Amino acid sequence: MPPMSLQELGTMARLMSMPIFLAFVGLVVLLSDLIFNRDDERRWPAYLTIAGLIGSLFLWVQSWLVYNLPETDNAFFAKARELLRVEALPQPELLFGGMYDPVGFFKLTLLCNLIIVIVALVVTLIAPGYLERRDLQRGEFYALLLFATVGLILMVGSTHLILTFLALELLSIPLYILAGFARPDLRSEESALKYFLLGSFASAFLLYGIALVYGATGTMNLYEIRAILAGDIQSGAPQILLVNGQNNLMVLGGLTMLLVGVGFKISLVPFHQWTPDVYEGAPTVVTAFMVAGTKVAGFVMLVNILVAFIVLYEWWWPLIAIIAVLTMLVGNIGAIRQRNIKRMLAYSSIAHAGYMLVGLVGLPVFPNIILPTLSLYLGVYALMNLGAFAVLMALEEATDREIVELEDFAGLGRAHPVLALLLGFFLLSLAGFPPTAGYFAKFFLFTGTILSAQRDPSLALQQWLVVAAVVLSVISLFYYARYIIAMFMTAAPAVEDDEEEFEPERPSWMVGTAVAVTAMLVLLIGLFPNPLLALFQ
Amino acid sequence: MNQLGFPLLSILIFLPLLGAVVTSLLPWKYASRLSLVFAVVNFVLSLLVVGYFQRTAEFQFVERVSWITAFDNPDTPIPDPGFLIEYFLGVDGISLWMIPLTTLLSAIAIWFSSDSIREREKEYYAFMLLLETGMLGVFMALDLFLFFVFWEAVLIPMYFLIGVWGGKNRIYATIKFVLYTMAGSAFMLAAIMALGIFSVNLGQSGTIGYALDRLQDITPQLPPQTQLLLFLAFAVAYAIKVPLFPFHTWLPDAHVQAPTAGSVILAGILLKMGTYGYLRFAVPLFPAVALELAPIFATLAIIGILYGAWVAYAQRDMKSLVAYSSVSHLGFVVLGIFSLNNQGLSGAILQMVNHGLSTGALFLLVGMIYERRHTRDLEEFGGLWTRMPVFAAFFLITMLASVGLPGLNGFIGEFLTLIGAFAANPWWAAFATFGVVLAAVYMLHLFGKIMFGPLDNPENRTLSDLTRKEIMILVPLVALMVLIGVAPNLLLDPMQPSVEALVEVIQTGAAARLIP
Repeated sequence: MPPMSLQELGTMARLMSMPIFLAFVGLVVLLSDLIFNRDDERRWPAYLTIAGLIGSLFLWVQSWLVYNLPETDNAFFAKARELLRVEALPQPELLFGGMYDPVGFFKLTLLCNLIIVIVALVVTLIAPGYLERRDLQRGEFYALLLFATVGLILMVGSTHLILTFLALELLSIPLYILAGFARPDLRSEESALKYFLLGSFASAFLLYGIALVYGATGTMNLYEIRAILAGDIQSGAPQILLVNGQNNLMVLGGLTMLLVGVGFKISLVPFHQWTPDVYEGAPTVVTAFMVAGTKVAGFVMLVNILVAFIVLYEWWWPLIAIIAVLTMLVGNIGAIRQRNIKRMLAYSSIAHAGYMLVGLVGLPVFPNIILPTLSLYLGVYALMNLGAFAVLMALEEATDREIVELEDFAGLGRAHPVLALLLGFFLLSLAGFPPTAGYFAKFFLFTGTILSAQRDPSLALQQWLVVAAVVLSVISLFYYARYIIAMFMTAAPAVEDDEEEFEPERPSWMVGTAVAVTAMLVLLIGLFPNPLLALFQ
Repeated sequence: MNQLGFPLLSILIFLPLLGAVVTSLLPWKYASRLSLVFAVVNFVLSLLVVGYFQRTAEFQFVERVSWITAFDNPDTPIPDPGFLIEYFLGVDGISLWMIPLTTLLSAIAIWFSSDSIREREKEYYAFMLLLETGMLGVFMALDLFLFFVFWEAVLIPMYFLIGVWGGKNRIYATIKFVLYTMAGSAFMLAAIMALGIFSVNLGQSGTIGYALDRLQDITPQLPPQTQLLLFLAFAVAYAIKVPLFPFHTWLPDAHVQAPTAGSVILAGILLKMGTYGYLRFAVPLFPAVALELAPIFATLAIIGILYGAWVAYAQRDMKSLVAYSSVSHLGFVVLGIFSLNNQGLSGAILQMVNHGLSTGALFLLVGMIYERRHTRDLEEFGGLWTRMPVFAAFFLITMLASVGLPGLNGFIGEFLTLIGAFAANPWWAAFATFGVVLAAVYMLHLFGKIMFGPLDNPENRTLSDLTRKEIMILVPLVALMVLIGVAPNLLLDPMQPSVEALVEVIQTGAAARLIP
């Protein structure tokens, strides 16, 4: 690489400013915990975190403006660019020595950065109340959350397997701690230990995969891997891919190991067994972060890896298809059995990963439909899960008791009609019921998938994947609706005194904001997806 | 954009939604009156549709803007098909009468509820208004995607109306209702998705679109096997909604458990969404298949007519009796549709309105007596004629309209349907005519059990006759029954051009079928 000028370095730093800034905020929050140690100051680290995350939203807008430079020439954007002093980079795709790409294919990474920041923001908004109720208010919670967020951002933008691994660890280690944050609670400790053991296992797989891929191709840069594999096929003189007319086991083995490692992280079947226990035991706000944040980022990581190995498509798509079917089946069937909403949402997140995998099978045929629809799905998925968790937190605040078991939901529709309706709304959205955002996301993803199957006859099987996905999402309504029935159609247990019922407590402004923001976004994306879609064309 | 210069249809759809929001924001004591105001205003507005309707086959009051356009990347090497989903509303002779019927029955149902609903009123009225929004959307949407959104949106408020304000066994009933409908909808959704994808390959614009007029150009080009599958997918969804035998088992449960106003809406309008679906989408999109399969559907309809009537006669629960009578009556509508000729289709459309009026009124009457006695068991009643003469009079007219007495609305609809069926296949008419006789049997049985005989149950001695409000609720319905019975052309005339156009589509389809 040629040495870069100071100005270039500055621009690069600005384009990478989101992770850098958030890491810095994380350090500040960690220190602030030393200063704000009086009981009435406990919330200050949270406020700082929120400020930092909102700041990083501006940084996101800046990078969005940079990468939309050629296409948008209307006055508003021009003015905004002028104010932010944004200029285009000669080669914007590769930063940090070619290890980091803030845009990604079809701006997938760019969008996911936004989703990740919103996830972190909503989690920070709902966390303080929860931590106080559990007597867990310690400032390092927010610092750990921020480090994990940085890990997510680096993970989705990574184009180099080493950075991918580092980012994954930067994400995982804080999450291990966060999962066990409710320390005297045995379930939380169990959750942390399980997550740690299986997470390390997954990391080992990933590392071994990286080593094999490096051994075969001589590089760990995903773009270079793609170019080498493609060149190998085109040149007709196979050196890497084919040995003695057979597939190079080193590449295939490496790819499989990578998939196993990622599969653990985004809990694809059969690597999902840890998920319900970990999600159930971890503090609820951490669960929200894992369900929304980790899964989205892990999925983008999976896309990045699959794109690098796109020429081996013939080989990996049956694998993905089988995993997709298993994941949908196990997720949906598992969810039916659950009577604990955290476990139910854990299985439902497995099911959703399955739906998204169905879309991924069509990736090489129609990347320009599959990837934008997938990013829409990821965004909607994160928002509706966050919304459901935010409402849960608001309900806990309002009723002053823990609400996780199905029985806890009885009669909530009468005591807290607005919150109960909102939870119903998010659950319907998760089930993909029109006219919610969840329905539109599913509709576009599945239509795009069928479309790719139509264009490439060898993918006829994919249509049946979509049929399975549609049937299973109809079935999924059953387990989501169970909570709606409990809230609205069964009476509350008579133990409570009447006073409480008639004067419901209002949730605090932070949780209220979180609920309002997620609900508005899910509703708006549902009714008017156009502006959002236009951002990422 | 349309003959009025303002988006009347959108206003009709979204005014109740606004009403639902306002109702749920203001204190509960205003809820019933406020929602009634919204419903009545919407009814008055819907009369504009009737007033300004022109006697042509064209869609009128059309509103058409693109709603979701996405994923079209012109700069990729292979041009990508993008989505073009339209907000496309319009009214023609087929949907014309469903709109005032919906607004009228909604207003009446809301008005009736003000006495019978005593808990969680705000939510109740908000859901009633939401339901109105969904139903109007179904009858106006001309883009299949939009149609599907409204179609499903109707489920949510109905789910709550039955599940929260329903009877003892309400949760079972509401889940059964939703699961049945969802199962059908899944088929329809699959068919809609498939049509969108075919529209890329066969259509002119190369985009994934769902507008009815574009799809109508495409469907004749599809291979017969595909057409058959797609038609069946639509038909199953609609058959469940109608409900056509053997998909009817959810209906009695839902009706018996629903609150009175819910039953009125369910029978009066929701069931018509199914028959309307046949008229608007399934038949015009796949006329050749419709002709091919008409005997099957007509047979199912006739079984429904006879079986529904038979089972209705055996019911002790009044609501359950009226519910099974709906199965029978809707059988006539489906039979009319699958006669696929002018008389049959006109009769079916007219019968959709008639059934809405008479069954709506029957459920209201049952509800009124339930309010007084809190039972619907036929054996508990007898001899009410002497105690409640006004009630008896209204009941008599409604019952006779439902049976199909000449001079009242039911006669015209059933007569046209039977003529149509006869023209299509005399045997159909022969069997269906028994349904008319059986209708008289179970309805007279119902009437006789309640009204005649000795007044021997002491609890019935203290019953009061209808209040002024109850009379005012029933008068518009009964007046319309008489009006349609005397002057059916008022309704038949405006729908003629659209029916003729539909018949032409069917004949073209039949001609196309002759070429292998």
